[in-house]
Amino acid sequence: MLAENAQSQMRKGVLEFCILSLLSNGDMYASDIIQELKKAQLIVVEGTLYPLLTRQKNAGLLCYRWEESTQGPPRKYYSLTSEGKLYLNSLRIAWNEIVITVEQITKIKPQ
Amino acid sequence: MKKTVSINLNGQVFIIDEDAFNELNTYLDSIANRFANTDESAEIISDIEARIAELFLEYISASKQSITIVDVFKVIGILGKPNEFGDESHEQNKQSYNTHDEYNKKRLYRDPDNRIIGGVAAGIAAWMNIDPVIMRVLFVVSFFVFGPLLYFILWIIIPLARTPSQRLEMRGEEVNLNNIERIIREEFQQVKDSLKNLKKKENRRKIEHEFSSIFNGIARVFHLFGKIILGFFVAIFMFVFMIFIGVMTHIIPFDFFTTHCITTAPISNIFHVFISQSSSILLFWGIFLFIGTILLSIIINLLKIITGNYRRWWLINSIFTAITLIGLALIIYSTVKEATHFNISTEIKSRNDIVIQKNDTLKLVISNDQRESTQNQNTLYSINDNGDFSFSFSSNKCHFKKGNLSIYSNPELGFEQSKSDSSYIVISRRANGNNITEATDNCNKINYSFSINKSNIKLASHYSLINTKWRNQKLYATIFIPNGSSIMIERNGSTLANNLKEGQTYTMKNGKLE
Repeated sequence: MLAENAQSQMRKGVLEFCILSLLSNGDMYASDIIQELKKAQLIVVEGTLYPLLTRQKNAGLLCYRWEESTQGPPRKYYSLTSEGKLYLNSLRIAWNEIVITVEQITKIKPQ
Repeated sequence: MKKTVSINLNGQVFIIDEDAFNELNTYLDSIANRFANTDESAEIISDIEARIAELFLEYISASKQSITIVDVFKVIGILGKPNEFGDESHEQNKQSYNTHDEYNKKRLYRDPDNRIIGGVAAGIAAWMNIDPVIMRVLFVVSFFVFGPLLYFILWIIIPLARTPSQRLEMRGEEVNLNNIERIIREEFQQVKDSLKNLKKKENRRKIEHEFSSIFNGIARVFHLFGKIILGFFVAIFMFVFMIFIGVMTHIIPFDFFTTHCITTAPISNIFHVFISQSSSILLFWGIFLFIGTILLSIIINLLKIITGNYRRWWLINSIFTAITLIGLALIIYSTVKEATHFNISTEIKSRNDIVIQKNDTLKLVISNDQRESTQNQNTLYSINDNGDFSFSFSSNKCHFKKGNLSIYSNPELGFEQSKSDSSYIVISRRANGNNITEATDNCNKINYSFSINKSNIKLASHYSLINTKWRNQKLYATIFIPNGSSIMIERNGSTLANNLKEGQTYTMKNGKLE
């Protein structure tokens, strides 16, 4: 239970980073992002994503456009803004730093 | 057969079962609640609605054209409840969502479609699932009890069903024991079904959800009992309130502009024995407003709890508080003002000499007042058809006849040894008043008749106060007899001197009658 909780906290922390990373590979609409994140087991319920996307958009990191869909109503396609790209880069650097530090610490074995 | 509703989600039209609609509606409300404090609310909700539309499109096919409650549960399972969104920045907004709290919940609204006056009867009928005509008949029948008042209060309290979803909530599912039992049975069925699919992770959450609904069903039974008990209290308070209003309308002197001391409201005359017209009006209105508003607000608040209306009305609350305080102020003011009439006590003594020969025996006659003998000693209060009535308090008897107040009371009779050789009677009148003048005036208004004719003394058994207020008036009649002189009780028609026997002669010896 405790481990599960810690895991979900970690996931939460990197969720924003992952969304931006996914979008850096190309524009996506919400359901695509959900599919990817679910595959990676980063989110459990879809509802988590919508407030995040809206907040990132309002922060100027994302923008969206409407695109007609063959099946059903028009879809909201999200893409990174230039500001978002800059932000993503800084997140990447921070992430790499964390990964390196964490690896260093976890690799040290007491003699 | 199920009733369906058609809804528009992100531009798509869906046919949805009514129960599924209610479920979806509460779900969307809970999301709206969670994001209520943010600017993004509308956008998040429209995104989520778009996603729901997308999922619904997957669920419908040529053979299954309507969205069922199971579909809605699936969607909720996929999208998650708002408290599972795990969004830290909204963590403080802890309005957790439990679908079954709201599930099938029926709320009381006034029905705008079937209204005759305020739609109260129609709304309650929809709530109880009975014909509105029955409700209306009940209201009309109760017209002479507290129907109009109850109707008016309910009219204020129950909100009007404005939106279609509120109208659905209004009709919703019946809240009764059968129904609760049915819901529980349905829930068990759903649990059984989903146990088969236990391996799927998503379903686990759904099972939790359904177990909670069983407890919820039980909780709802208790909830219902609670409401019945509260309803019982409302009836009691309503009854008390009506009695209070009834009594007050008999007491309050509504004829403000009459200058006459006695009002047409008979019971209020009792109070005129003690307090002035102006003070009594203030006092009655004070009591009326103070207790009336308190009772009314108790009734309103109980009904608010029962009907699930938790909105706070600042305006009405403050008006009520103000009226209560005004009532209290009136009570205090009039009481204090009247109390000042008891400020000062004075005593007026008058000495009446009895001129007799030294060895003559005094003859005392205590006359019996007709008014006392006609009145039953045990009745506290009696009234006749003309509105004349009488009542007694402590040793005083008050009579109202043709608008006039008279108070009768017994004087205190005493015998003392005279310091000189002469006999005399001292009549001492006592009364209270606001000041010396008023107190003296009150003393002088004590009517007492007695006569001295040579050795014959005749005392009335009562003194009277005609058209004066009761100001603690007292009258003492003391007969001073020289040592060794005798007094014969010729007639003792009253209880003034019980220890003296009629026809007996008593002699004053060292301050005592023997």
